[in-house]
Amino acid sequence: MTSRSGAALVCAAAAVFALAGTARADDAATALLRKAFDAPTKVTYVGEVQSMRFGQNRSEVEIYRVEHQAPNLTHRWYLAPRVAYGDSVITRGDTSYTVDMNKNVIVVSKDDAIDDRIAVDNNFTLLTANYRASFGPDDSAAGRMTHVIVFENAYTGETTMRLWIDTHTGVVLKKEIYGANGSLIAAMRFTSIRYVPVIPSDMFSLPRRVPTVQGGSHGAPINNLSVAMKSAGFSVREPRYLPEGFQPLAADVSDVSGVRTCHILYSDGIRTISLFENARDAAVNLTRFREAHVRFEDHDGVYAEDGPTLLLAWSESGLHYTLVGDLALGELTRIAASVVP
Amino acid sequence: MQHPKPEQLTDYFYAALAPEADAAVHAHLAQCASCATAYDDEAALSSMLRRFANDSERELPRSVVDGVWERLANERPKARMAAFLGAVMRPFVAIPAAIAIVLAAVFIPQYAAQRDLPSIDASYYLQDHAAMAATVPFGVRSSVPAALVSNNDDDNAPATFAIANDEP
Repeated sequence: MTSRSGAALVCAAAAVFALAGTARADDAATALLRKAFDAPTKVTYVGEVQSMRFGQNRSEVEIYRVEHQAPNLTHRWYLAPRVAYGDSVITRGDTSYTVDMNKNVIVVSKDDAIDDRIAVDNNFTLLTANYRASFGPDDSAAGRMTHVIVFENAYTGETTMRLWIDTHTGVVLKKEIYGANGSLIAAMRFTSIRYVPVIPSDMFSLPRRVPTVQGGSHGAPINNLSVAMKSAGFSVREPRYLPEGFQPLAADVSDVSGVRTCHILYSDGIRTISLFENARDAAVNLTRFREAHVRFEDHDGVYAEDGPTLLLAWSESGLHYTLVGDLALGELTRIAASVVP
Repeated sequence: MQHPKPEQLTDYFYAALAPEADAAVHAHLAQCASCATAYDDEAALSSMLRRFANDSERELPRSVVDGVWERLANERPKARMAAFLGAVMRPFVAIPAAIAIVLAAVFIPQYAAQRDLPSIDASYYLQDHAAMAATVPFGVRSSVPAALVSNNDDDNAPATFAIANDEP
């Protein structure tokens, strides 16, 4: 064996070990992600959170205190924006109580997907199928040591998300989501957190003398998607094109202003798109938004921006469609064109 | 003048002769006794016929007269309508009128239908999307905590809430 061939063997072995090491690291990252998914059911804490979403012309910021009692009691009390100051959301399992102090009312809503093991598992499967998880350099967040997991889109190779996960508890202390051009489109971080064994039950009680009203229900799990579509009372159409990795995740049929409306949520595990359909040609009212017109293929549509979220609406063959998502207009129009070719 | 013929005497009686003939017959009757007698007979016959006609005249029954007047009253508007339609059907009036009727038939129902159509505020779509998208544990719109899965089934009843304080 020559020295050259020996060196080659050493390099090959190093490459194999490196690949094996990478695979182990990826497995470990996925295992840590699983721990992060399950952490809320096991860890009780109080803290303060900043959440931001950045749009092309406007951004949104929320700051709230959070008290979470494992497995499923949560109280979020909003400090910002000013319009929401004093409002709070108490979540108990799949039922949320939104306390609006300005309107002096408690809105009760139910969300099947929040408290559904299948839905959570579907989300985990979707995320790990569409994104390659790997470790980044360890870092700190909210004064605690964290492992950083980097998510690369399996189809485009773009880094889409970073999670800072508490090394001891598995709680996600910081999150950043990036757009296709690498810009930051959403971020969340704990500014402080304290783990506690128990939180007094008063924290999750409702204020007295505030009337409750029934809000909407959202998101039947994916295994009921076809049932939801059939209950719409009209032939629900689905897009023939979706960005790589997007799958229908939840559906809901409800009466909005007397109009039967079907809502299907699509996601790739991080990004989401909603498609609304109604058969009464009930157009979207955009008077509170800056409306713009767009033509795609043979369709005339209107769209409006709400911070980082885009809404695109159009009518076709007696049905009215509305797409909502954090995608670019070109991507939304491509999806829209595939709904009714 | 020769004796006038019987028809000339009749025309004379009714003053239907030309002035020269009328003057000649008048002069002859004054000097011819037989023609004067014939004229008197003709006049008597005519008077008798007129008297008979007058005596024979009868008024129509009231119902018949009313029916005639009613028919007249009904036929006059029809006649006016026919005249109006005749004018309207002239091309320079009829074509623009037809276009206006067609346009009205097409657009008025659409306008009425649009007025009746419900609309859905865009805020509903945005809020509903946000609510459903928040269930994606690490999605753009997820809140803290990232995911919730209950371990028991006793957690959804508001009655178990301890209503304890005024402030949340």
